[in-house]
Amino acid sequence: MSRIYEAYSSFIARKILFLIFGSTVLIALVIFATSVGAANLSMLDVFSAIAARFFSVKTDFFKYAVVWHLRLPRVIMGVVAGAGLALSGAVMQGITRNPLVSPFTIGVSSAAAFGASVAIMIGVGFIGTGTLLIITNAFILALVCTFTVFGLARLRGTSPETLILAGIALSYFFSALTAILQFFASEEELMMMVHWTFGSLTRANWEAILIVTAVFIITLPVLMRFSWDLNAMVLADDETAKSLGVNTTFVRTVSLILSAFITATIICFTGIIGFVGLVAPHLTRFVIGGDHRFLLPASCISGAILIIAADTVGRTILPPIILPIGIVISFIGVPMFIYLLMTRKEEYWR
Amino acid sequence: MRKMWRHFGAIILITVLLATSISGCTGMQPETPSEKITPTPTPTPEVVKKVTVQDSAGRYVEVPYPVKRIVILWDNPAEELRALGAVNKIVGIDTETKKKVDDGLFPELADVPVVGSWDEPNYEKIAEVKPDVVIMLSTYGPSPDEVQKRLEPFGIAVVALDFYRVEVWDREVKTLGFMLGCEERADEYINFFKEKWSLIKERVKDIPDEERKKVYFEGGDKYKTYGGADYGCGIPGMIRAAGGIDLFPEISAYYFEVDPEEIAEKNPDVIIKGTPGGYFLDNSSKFEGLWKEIMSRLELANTTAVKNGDVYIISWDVAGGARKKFGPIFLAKILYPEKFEDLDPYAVLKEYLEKYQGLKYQGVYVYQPISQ
Repeated sequence: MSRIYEAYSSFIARKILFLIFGSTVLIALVIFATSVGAANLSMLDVFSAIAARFFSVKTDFFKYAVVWHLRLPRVIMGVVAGAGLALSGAVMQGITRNPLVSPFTIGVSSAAAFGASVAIMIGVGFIGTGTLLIITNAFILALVCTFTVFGLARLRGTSPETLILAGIALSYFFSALTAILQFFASEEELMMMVHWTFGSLTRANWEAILIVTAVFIITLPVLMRFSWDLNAMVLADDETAKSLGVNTTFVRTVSLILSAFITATIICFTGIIGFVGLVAPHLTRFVIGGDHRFLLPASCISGAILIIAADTVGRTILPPIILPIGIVISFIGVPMFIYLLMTRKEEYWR
Repeated sequence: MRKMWRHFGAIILITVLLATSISGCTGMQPETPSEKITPTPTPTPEVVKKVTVQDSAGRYVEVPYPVKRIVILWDNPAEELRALGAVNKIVGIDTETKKKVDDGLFPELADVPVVGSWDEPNYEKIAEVKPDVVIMLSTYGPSPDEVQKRLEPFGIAVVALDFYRVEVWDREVKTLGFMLGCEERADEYINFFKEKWSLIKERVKDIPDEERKKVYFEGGDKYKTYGGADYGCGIPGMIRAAGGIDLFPEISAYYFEVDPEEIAEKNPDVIIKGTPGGYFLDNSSKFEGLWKEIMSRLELANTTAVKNGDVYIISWDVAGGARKKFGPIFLAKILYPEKFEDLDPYAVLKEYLEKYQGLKYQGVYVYQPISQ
């Protein structure tokens, strides 16, 4: 009995170790990312610029503006966006019991892109670039898509297959609508539509960070509370989970809405950064297993690491050209993913 | 479930229809150049020597006067700045311009740092080279307002000037000349083109509509052409300035695939295809190949253009980007050779390259031959 207990403790200890190790790597990475860039600033310059906001440290305005206006928003947005997208992916994979699911497989990104395109076409003429309109519209459409997918699936009894199929169908539907809109768009509108969907941290600013962080802080504890329920739902079918006392419909509904909520909020400000939501939870699962109590926070850390690493590489590999984050993530994430896929023998998914 | 789908579909369709009808309305009333851009920048009080200009995105921007340090996010401004003798004021360039520098077209900019690409400018790098203004495109990549927001804390102004639409080209050059404090030189340069354009306008103005040449202008891809509504890409405007009729004035998509049958049906009098390469070519075999391909298209065999052999290949070096200002001159010669026997587009190009760009004249620009 005590052997089992010891084994369990060391099992848990490994996961906690991963969390500590991951956080340390993330913090180191954030510091590194903030200190590199096209402008020639030393690490000391960066630290004194950061300190200048809080204490009366001498720094020149250029350094201050580079750090506070360009670098920090970018890095912090990367952390929150990576964490949020990975969290959303981990939860969605759990509730649908399907390793192929990510926020983007249920159509959220196509719907958001369509919402943004509509706003661009209607709004461009009379309210300038209408950023607020674009973001609001993208967000509303992302939620509409989630509710539709969920509504459709519910009609058929909330089975994981229906959710995914409905999501894929809607994803195609919204992409088609966007393509039609793009055809009727003028050059200026078309360029804005294309630019909006292009995932990038360049557009990050403090207001956006505030909104995304607030949503993340509200979402994470609720989803964490569902960890045990998610564990039960992943390990067995719905009937078994129900017999264990899990209100599967409730858990699935709330988790789905919250994951869509956080994804929509993030992509409204960053454009579409795919792959993280799919891969970060898997990478984490490979290492620490599928216990959602640890999987969720650890996925957040891996997601943030992945995005920050990709963005930093993208910014520094061919300076001053900034490589699109989507490309770099694939280069970093895919080899890692395939390595783990090939070296792990056991069935990691359950 | 079906019912739900139908409702959902209906809502989406209505949204699409609404969106397209609204944009259709604006499409039917294209803004006149005078609404889009005002040439008369108004000086503000002398204190810090700042002036306000209106750019091609319709924004009013306050810039230091005269502007001394410029970052460009597209290659068109590099060419116009050189024409105004101000290429040395460029302190940062984008990757597109860098390609031209590497081709040897801008030796003056060989040591100027790259500051990112037009669609993903590196704001840190831009801030580091400390320009007074950034000159960018009004309709590509991030919007000028977005770029302005990023660069505001550094006191850098963002001005959108395209230099690729003959409709507003002179106003844009005037604005540029004004910011640089070299209005006279700008006027002289503008007149160099305007006198040619006016001559063309004068000679084609009395051609009745039914006798005007209908032009199918094809881009690099087969059966992809340019819409003439809205702001556009400059190609339909070029055709009109040369006295021709563009085939799709009602379509706002700037570059779209068209049904070949539609082209056969519209029966163009002249077919022109644009292609990259020109200045660095020493023979016309590439152009000839493209020409033969169009001449051999069965579906076009019955069009007036193919029957009369009025099919031309034109280099973007005289019909694209900042060189669209040559479009009307070359096109007029192609469309109405009998009216423009005294106009030699190549001589105009030669004078331009030598006088305003400091480049020697060379290259192949049009096939089949149009001039002496």
